[in-house]
Amino acid sequence: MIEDIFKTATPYILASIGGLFTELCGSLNIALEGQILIGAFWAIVVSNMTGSIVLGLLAAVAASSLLALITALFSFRFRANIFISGLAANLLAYGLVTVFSTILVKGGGVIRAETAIQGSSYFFTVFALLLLPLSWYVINYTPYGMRCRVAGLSEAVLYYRGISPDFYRYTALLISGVLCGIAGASLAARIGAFVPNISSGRGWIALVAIYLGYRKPQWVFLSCILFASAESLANWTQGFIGMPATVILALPYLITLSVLTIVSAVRKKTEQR
Amino acid sequence: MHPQKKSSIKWPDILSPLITPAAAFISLVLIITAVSSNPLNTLYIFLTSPISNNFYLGNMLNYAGLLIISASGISLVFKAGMFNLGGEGQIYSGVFTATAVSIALSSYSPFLAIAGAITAGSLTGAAMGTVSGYLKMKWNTNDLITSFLLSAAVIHIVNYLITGPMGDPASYLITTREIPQALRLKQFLPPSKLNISFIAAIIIAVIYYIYLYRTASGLKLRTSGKSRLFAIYSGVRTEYFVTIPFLVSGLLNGLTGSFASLGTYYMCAYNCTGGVGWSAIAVSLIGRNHPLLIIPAALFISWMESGLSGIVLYSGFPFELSPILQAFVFFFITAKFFKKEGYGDRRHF
Amino acid sequence: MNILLKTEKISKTFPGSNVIANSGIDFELKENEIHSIAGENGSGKSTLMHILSGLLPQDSGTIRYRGEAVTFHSPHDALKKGIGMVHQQPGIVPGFSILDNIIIGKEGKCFQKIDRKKAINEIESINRQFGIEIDISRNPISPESRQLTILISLIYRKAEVIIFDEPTASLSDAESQDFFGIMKKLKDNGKTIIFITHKIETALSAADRISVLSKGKIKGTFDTDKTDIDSIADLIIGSSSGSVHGIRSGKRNSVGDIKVFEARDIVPGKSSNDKKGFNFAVREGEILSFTGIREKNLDIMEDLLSGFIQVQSGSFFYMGKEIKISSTRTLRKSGIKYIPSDRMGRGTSLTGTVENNLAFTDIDSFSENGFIRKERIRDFFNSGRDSFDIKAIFGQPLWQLSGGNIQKVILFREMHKAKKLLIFCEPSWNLDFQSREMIYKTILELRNRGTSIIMISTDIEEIIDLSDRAAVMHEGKIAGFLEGNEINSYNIGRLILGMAASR
Repeated sequence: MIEDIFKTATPYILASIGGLFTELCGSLNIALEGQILIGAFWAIVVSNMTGSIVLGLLAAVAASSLLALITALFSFRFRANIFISGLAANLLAYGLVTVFSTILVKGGGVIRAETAIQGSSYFFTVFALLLLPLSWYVINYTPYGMRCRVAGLSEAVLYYRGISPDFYRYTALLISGVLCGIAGASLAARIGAFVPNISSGRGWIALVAIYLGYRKPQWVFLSCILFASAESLANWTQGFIGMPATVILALPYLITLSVLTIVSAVRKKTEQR
Repeated sequence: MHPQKKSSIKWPDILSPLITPAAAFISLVLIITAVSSNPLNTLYIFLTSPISNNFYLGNMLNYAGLLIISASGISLVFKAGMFNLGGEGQIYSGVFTATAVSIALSSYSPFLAIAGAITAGSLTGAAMGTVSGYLKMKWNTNDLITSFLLSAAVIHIVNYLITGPMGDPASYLITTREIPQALRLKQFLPPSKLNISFIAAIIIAVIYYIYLYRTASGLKLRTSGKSRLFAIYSGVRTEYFVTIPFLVSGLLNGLTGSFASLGTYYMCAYNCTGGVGWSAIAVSLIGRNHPLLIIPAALFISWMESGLSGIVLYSGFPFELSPILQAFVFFFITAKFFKKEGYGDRRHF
Repeated sequence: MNILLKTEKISKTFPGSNVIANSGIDFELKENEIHSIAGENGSGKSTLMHILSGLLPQDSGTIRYRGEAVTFHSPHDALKKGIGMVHQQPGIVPGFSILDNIIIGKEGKCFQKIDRKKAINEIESINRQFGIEIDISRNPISPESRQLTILISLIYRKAEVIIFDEPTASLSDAESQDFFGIMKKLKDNGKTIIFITHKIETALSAADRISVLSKGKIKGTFDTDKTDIDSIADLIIGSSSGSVHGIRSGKRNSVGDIKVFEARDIVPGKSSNDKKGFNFAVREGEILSFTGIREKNLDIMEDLLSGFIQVQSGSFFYMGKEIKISSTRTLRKSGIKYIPSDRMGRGTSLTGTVENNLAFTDIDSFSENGFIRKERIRDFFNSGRDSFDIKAIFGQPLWQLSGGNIQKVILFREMHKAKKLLIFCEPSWNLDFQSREMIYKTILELRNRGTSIIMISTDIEEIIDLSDRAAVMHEGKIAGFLEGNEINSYNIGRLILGMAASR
């Protein structure tokens, strides 16, 4: 059960810690979804082609970082609305995956892993667990983390100190690209295949976890665990009380919504005192 | 710093709204040229197929109408300083409720059934919006997240209902039963789906414009959104402008779903609204949340989607490439190529 | 003394405006002096300082620093040469401690651990050296702590020239005294200082030299011991207008008996167990003022009267009837006007248009059946522009106006229709002489017509000049009331410090 929760949580943790950096810089990153999708696709395709899981992982990271860079270019260089460029990035990821799956894999659709990538899913979970202290340290104790936060809170202060916020915005989006690429690979590794719509809203849940965790890595991490637990619990109850699978899918969202509501109500009450 | 003269003409001011669609268009031409064997023909079809006959024209306008209604709701919440990310679920639940109610009332008079269906569909969306608005007002719960989570949950619930209890066992699709002929909205330009909802959309946008820019309440809403402290200081009950915009936004999304059900889909099929809610957010942002700019923005998006399906059908353009094309248009559509000084650029003074 | 900084024919015009902000300014700054810059709103003094500190580029002209021509592309460029500026309301990072605010940009290498201990030691030695008393682990919230944060950060970066923009404008008198102490220490330790001020007395007493700007030109630079307040005032205004504080007259000896507004045993919500509440009343045609330090005294009074904090117990009476002030809405509905001390946050919507800022607080009277009557707003705008000399055009966004003009928008909006009661906080905040005199006259006219005014101000001079009665606050309580001739700086000062006034 616990193991299942952590394995379920792995892609959420990876993506939301990545998204946390962009969020701290003040950019609403809705492209996590597309980054995960494109990462999962290339992880399977390249590992199948080369027989190397490491190369598959690298390809996943490269593809999703490239997508992040394109988003960053339009959002920051050309000051496009970041929500729209995020939507565009998700569309682009979806389109590219469809195109390449028809070109590279005849027939498209589900691509089964031909390597032992499924065995590597432990690695991803360990990596996600290590990411918590690492990100906590970077965000609170290094100049990089501090400047990311300043970029989101007060651009003017950075200007006065002769620091360009753009450097931090670009690199933060790149970090989210790298981590979402790994998140995608971890998802594909767990299933042992690429299926269309493999990310199925996980990027959005990662974004929810960032807000639910009030932009603090430790709380973001816990939010991911919460959502993964809700998902595991839902699957577990399904076996017991025979609730239909489709309605079970709604449960994690409703549980997260309830927790968010309770947390904010408690916060409001304590603030008033 | 000092009063500005209005007279001086600045080229960037005039060019910048034009240059972004131009850039989007050029990127479109480049991709089409690269992929298509006969780029000129493909481009011609892309541009003209949406108006080439009544069927395409009508469907294009019909889809634009749905986008206008939904985007008006999205923009209202933006104007009030919040974010309704739940359009997708609000629309989908609207489609479902309107379909279910119209079928249930089909033994009564058509007028009653249609009115009942539209009311029920709108109220479903309104109820969802109200939850987000109320939580925001009461406990300052993040509106972007609550609206998204509720929408995602409701989508799964509707999916459950149409697979199981409310599904049509006779259909090979995952869907409800079809709405009886008598209850479907009259087609203006058969065989296209264009119906009364397009006219309703234009009226809604105009009423919304008048509300926002001509009434005291509209000014209060905009001020509550932009300068909350000033609104409180001025005696505005800002809490009203949290819950109510969300309620109305949900209502308009539910109405979009009801119209889609009675006038376009005639049933509630699995994932039938896929993406309308997202496109509506895009429309609202492209139209800078302005009620009247939403109309051309919706026409633009609708035209683009229609043109894309046109080239896939008639010029052998690979259909897999159409989301990529759409992505590039989205990338370019709000990009700015000239620097223009605005309030935000000077805040540190 | 050497010339440290020199400008040669600096000119600046803002795009879109026909006013020349700086025209051919030649300015000289000697090493290790305190140099004060005086001038009206819009005389170009802030523009000049923004150019010197790298915030704005000049259109033409040269800046020479230690004899060498320099070009600044940003405030950071200027600071690298040794010139830094403390703005009136400096930007800080919300939620960050003073320590973190100071070290941003100088924390170390990208992914190395920030050495906060070393920074704390360095900052504390700076604070000792310059007599700055502040707990750097706290967040900078008050204007004073924000200014000190930026000041320390400039010294931390080895600034030689420090420019202050209206440093005492948002400080109480006691805080101002502390500030001048720090300024003296800065000079003793070899720093050179420029400070902009509206108050000539302060300029003359605290500075070595003073430069007067008017309409974008330097009218003259003088040693402060060889000039006097009247000649400087003449230069600023451009004509001899007699005393700067010529207003002081017409104190009311007898006021009506009608209590327009009364507070009985008001205890603010969220306060400690101390149940001793506020008791005061303002009578018809009377100016009752509150003074003291802002934090935890005047701010609480302001928020109580405007409904931003709720009362825990006690009651307010307005025109003989009890009213519950649950929000500013209560005031608006009762016709009580209120000018907040937070002019930019509460008082305006900077992104809104000028006319909407004027009309919004009373928007229902500019509407019919819920629809806005634009022509009524236009009439109102025109009357404001003419009677208060607001330099703006219809439809312009408020943020484009100068600070002084934004003030006037708020003042006109609240003052023109004030009938029974006006709550007026910091009347002269950010205003130049002429505007200040105009406001004082308007306040007295209102009072003479029978309007009661509750004035909340940290500016002791205007308390002395304008109030019929003054309540002085100390440690969250009213320390005492003063009337008539008792209202003088000696008595106010003693009460603020918690001592008894001498009658």
